[in-house]
Amino acid sequence: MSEDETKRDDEHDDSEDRAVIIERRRLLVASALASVAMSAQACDQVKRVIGIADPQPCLSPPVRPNVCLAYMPPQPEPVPQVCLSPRMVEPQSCLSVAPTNPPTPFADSDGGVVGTDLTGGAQPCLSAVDPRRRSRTTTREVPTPMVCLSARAPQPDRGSGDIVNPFKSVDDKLDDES
Amino acid sequence: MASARPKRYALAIELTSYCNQKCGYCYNDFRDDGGKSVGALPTEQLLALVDKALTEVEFDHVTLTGGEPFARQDIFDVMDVVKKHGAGVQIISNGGLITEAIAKRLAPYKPSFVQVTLDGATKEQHEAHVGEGHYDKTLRGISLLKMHGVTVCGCIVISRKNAKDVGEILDQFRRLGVKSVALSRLSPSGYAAAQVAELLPSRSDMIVALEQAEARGRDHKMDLQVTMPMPPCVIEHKDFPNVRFGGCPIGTEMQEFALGPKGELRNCTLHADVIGYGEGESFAALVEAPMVMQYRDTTPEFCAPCPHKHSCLGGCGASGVAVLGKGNPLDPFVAQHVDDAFRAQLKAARKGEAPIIPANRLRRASV
Ligand code: SF4
Ligand code: SF4
Repeated sequence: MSEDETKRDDEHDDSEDRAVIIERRRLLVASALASVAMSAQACDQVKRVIGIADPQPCLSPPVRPNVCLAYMPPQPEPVPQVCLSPRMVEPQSCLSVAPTNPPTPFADSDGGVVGTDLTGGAQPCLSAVDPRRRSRTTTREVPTPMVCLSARAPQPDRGSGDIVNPFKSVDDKLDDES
Repeated sequence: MASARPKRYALAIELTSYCNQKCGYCYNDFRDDGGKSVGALPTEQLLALVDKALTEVEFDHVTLTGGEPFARQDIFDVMDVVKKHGAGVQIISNGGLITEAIAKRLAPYKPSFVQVTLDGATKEQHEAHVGEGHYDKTLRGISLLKMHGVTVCGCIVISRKNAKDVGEILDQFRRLGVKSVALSRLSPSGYAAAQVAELLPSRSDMIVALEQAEARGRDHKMDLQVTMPMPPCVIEHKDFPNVRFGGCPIGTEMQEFALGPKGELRNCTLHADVIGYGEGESFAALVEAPMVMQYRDTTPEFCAPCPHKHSCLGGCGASGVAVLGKGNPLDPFVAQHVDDAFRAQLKAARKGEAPIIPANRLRRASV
């Protein structure tokens, strides 16, 4: 190696390259999750992945565009998951999907409970709580996504529909690394 | 039944392990001893094997490579076999052995192109990569090919030594009348795995190179393609609209298999692991072997959350295996920035404290 190159190495610190790569990966994950939440096709794929053969229509109102709490990290206790992606608004229909369930607290995308008093009359989509899977959310070892299991009004498919496993302690991992 | 043949994109035929150049970035394992331990198949055996491969699998085209393919005089016999099957031909050469007679004889075969590499705009810089005494011969080879109407496509192996000079090398290609150039970001495998500290460009290096390339693509309408993966977490492809990017095609219909100088079929020219030997087995079965079909099922741990993992695969797996070892290693191009152990190794090697012994060397030493 020439003297010049050795000198360059002493001077060159790749921490910016490193930071950019980690941050870009985080953004790639985030944007993919947003598009998954927006995509009816992707939603169907998730449902198939977790074994829901006959999803119910989900017509709950938009609360926070592009955020689907289905993709929140696994919680220590079962927390009802709410699909917050923009959809056709029909709260009654949504509740009628799960008539026996009372409205349940919403959870924030990073896991905090934000309460039930949501503006805009948003109704939690209780169909997302799949009792067969509920117990599994108590362990971080076997993270299982709680997704909106119901069929939604078709949205423009903005994602590839390529379902990744964003639930595998992704946020833990990204937090550790950044 | 002929129509039931599987269709695949390409077969790279490594005609010989001999090469007149001694490139530091050579991805062939056999570069170590100039190909002596590997050699090449005798003509009859080679022709029969190529014929068998093209009978059993419908390849769109073959890429004749090596070593240096023009080191074999029977290269034209191989092309005759390929033409008989109606497949296209392209050739990767260093240009140094091309004579007037070869260029003249080659022209009627109408190869899609002969790809010739220049790693520097000057003799010194090019020869710093490939060894002394080759620059003028390569330029002469390009001129002869062009003089006889053979399409020449350029290639730059982008290393940390020449990344900042990519624009000048592209200008040199343009002066030679070559407007289509492959930007081959160094992927350290084979012999080059041991040169990883010296040659591997960083993300910043590649951005400098790509900015220069983008300007040539835009202003001079050069046709530029990066031929090694540049993962989307490393580079924003949209920033370089006049440069094309691709990904690893293994396991897809776009895969280019490698038929090595011992008659072995591999996943690509950079991968050293053998899928099987075409002489004793059916190529149709080999191209669908688990080593091929399951290639995309596993990806590096770093990529677990990434939505691109099934298309990107974490970059070039061959260089990952060569440098970092089996498992699902990340492409060293990415790992150099995010794998702490490897990062430290590179730093130490570049300070001259401890050389990096790549996994492929360790493996060979233990056999
Ligand atoms: S798959 Fe891996 S290397 Fe490719 S973009 Fe994603 S994180 Fe980066
Ligand atoms: S492993 Fe994939 S990216 Fe790397 S050289 Fe082979 S085909 Fe290309």
